[in-house]
Amino acid sequence: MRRDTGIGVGLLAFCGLLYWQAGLVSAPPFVPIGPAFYPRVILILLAGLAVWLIAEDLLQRRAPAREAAKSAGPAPNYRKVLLGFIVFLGYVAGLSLIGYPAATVLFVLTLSWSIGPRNVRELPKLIVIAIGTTLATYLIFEKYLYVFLPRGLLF
Amino acid sequence: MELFFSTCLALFEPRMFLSLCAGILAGVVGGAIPGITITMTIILTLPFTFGMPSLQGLATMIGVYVGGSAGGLISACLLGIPGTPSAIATTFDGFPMARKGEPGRAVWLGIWASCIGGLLAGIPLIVGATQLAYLALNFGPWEYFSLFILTLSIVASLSEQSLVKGLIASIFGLLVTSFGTDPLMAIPRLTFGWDFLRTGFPFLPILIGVFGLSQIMSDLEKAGSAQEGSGFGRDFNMKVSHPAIIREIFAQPVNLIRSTLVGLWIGILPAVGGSAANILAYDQAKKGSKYPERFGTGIPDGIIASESSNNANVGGSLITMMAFGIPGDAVTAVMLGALIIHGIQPGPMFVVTNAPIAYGMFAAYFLAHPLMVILEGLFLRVALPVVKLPQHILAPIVLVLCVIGSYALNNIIENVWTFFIFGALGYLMVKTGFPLAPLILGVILGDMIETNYIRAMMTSSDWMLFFTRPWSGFMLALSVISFGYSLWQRHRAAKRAGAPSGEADVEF
Repeated sequence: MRRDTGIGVGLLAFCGLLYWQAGLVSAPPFVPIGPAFYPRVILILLAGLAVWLIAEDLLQRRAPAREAAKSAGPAPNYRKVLLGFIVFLGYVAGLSLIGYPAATVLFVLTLSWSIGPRNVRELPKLIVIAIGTTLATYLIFEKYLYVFLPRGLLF
Repeated sequence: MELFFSTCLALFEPRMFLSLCAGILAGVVGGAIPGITITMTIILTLPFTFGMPSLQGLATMIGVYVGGSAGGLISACLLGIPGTPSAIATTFDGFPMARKGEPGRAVWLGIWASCIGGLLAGIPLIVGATQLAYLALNFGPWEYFSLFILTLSIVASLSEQSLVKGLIASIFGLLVTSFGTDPLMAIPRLTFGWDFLRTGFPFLPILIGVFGLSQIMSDLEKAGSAQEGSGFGRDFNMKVSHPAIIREIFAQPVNLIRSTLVGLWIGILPAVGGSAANILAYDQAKKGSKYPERFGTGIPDGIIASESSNNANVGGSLITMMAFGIPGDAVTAVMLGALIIHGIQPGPMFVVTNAPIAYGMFAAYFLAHPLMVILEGLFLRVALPVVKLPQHILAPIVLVLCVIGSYALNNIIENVWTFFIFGALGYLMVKTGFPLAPLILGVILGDMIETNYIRAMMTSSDWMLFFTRPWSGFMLALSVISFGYSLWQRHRAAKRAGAPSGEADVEF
C-alpha cells in the first residue's frame, strides 16, 4: 500500500471511530446546536479530505527525478531517532515511578551516551552534565519557581 | 503616546529590565545554536515566566523573539549553518563574506540591519495593532468566524507541501479541540470515559510537543554529521567600525525599506513566519539589484535584506496577535498561551482593556532592539564554543526543559504524556510531509470557531448572514480566492515541472 493511501485509510477509520463516539453524547433540549454537532462537522470534513488524499495519491504518476533527488545527501539515522524515542518514553514513565531527580539523571546520561560517540573517556563529562542539569533545573524550578516536580520511589 | 512613554520608563525597573535582557540573551544564544529554533527557545523560557507579573513575562518573551530573530545570523555567518530558519538567506552572503576575511563585517552588518529593520517595523506595530483592534471591535460572531476561516485557509494554502495535507493538518487541529467539554454547555464529548480528557488536551504541551520533540528527533537523524569542523577556529577578528557599518546599511535605503516591508507583511500573514520572510526579501533584493550575479559571493545587500526582514517579521506577527488574538507564527502562539495563563483574554479587547500591558509590549519591542545589539555584541566573544555544542549534549538538556515546561502548566504528569504523544505525532507528520503550522493554528482557533459559529446561529438561524454581512462576506470571499489561487499555482507548477506536485512515493 502506498504511504499517503495508508494514511488516508487510517484517517477514515479514525474519523469513523470518533463519529460513533460523538453519537454517544446526550443532546440537551432547547438548544439549536448540540455538543456533538461541531465534532461531527469536523469529522465529515476530515473524512472528505482523507478521500481526497487517497484519490490524489492513487492518481499521481511516479516522479523519477524526485526519486533520484531523494538519494542525494547523507541518509537519515533512524536508529538514533528510535533510541531517542525509547529512552524518552522510559523517562516519562520513570518520572512518576522514581521521581524527577533520579529519572532525570538517568535520562540525560542514557540519552547523551546512546546518541553520542560512545567514548568511555567522555563518560565522566556526561555524568557531570547529567547531575549538573538535574541539580540546576531542580533548584531553579522547585526551590525558586515553586514548581512541585514529580515525586516517586527514590524521591 | 503618554502611556507608551510611561511604560517605557516602567521597563527600566530593575526586575523588568533584567528579565528583558535575560530574554534577549536567551534568544540570541538559542537562535545562534543550530537546531534550537526561536520557537524552541521561547518554549523553554515559558515556565520561567509563569511566576512573573504579566508584563514582565511578556517582555521576557518579546526579548527572546527579538534576540532569537537576530541570533541565527551568528552561526549563519561564522559556521555557514543558519542558527534558525529565519537566517537561511543570511548564510548565502554572510558566510562567503566571513570566509573572505571579514567575519566582523558580516556579523555586524546583520546585527545592525536586524536592529534597524526591527525598529522601522515598530511604527506600523503601534499604529496598525491599535487601529485594527478598534476595527475588530465592531465584529460580531459572523465576522470572527469568517476571519478564523480565512486565517486557516491562508495557512493551509501557503503550506509548502501538498494543499490537501495542509488542509488535513488544520482540520485535525480543529478536531483536537473537540475532545473534552464543549465550550458553551460544558458537556463532555469524545472522552472515551477517560477523566483526563474531560478538560480536553491542554494547548501548551501540544505546542511544545509538536514543535519541540519533533524538532529534536528530526535533528537526531543528522546527529554527528557536517556541523563539527566547519567554519572558523576560535581565534578570529570581529573588530569593525560601527559608524561605517551603519552608513553601509543606510546607503541602501530601497533594499532596507523593501526588505522591512516584506518582513512586516509576511509577519502579518498568520503562521508564515521569518523563514519565508528572509528568503523572499533576499529574492526581491536580488531581483531588484543592478548586479544580481554578485549575490551569494559575500556582498552586504543579501545580509541587509535577510536580516532586516526577519526582525521586521517580529513586528508584523505581533500586529496580528495583538489586534485579533491570532498568532502570526509559532512564537506568538506561545505568547498567546502565556497571555491566557496570566488571565488575559487575547483578541481586539486586549489592546483596549489592557492598554498598559499592550503599550508595555510595544515599549519592550522598541527597547529590545538596541539592547539586542549590545548583548549580541557581548555574546560574540564566547559565541563559537557555544554554537558548536554537540547534539548529544544539547538534546537531553532541551528535552528535560520541555518536560518541565509541559508539567509546570498545572503540575500533572498527564501533560507530559500529552507532550510525548503530540511530539511523536508531530515527528510523523514531518516525515510524511504534513505541515505543522496549520495543525497548531487549528488547535488555537478550534474553540473560537465553534463558539462564534454557535453564537451566530443562536442570535439568528439565518446562515446567509455569514455571506451577506459585508466584512464576513468579504473575508469568506478572500478564503475562497486564497484557496483557488493556491490550487491554480500548484497546478501551474506541476504543469511546468511536467510532474505532479506531491511528494515522492514511499511504500509501507
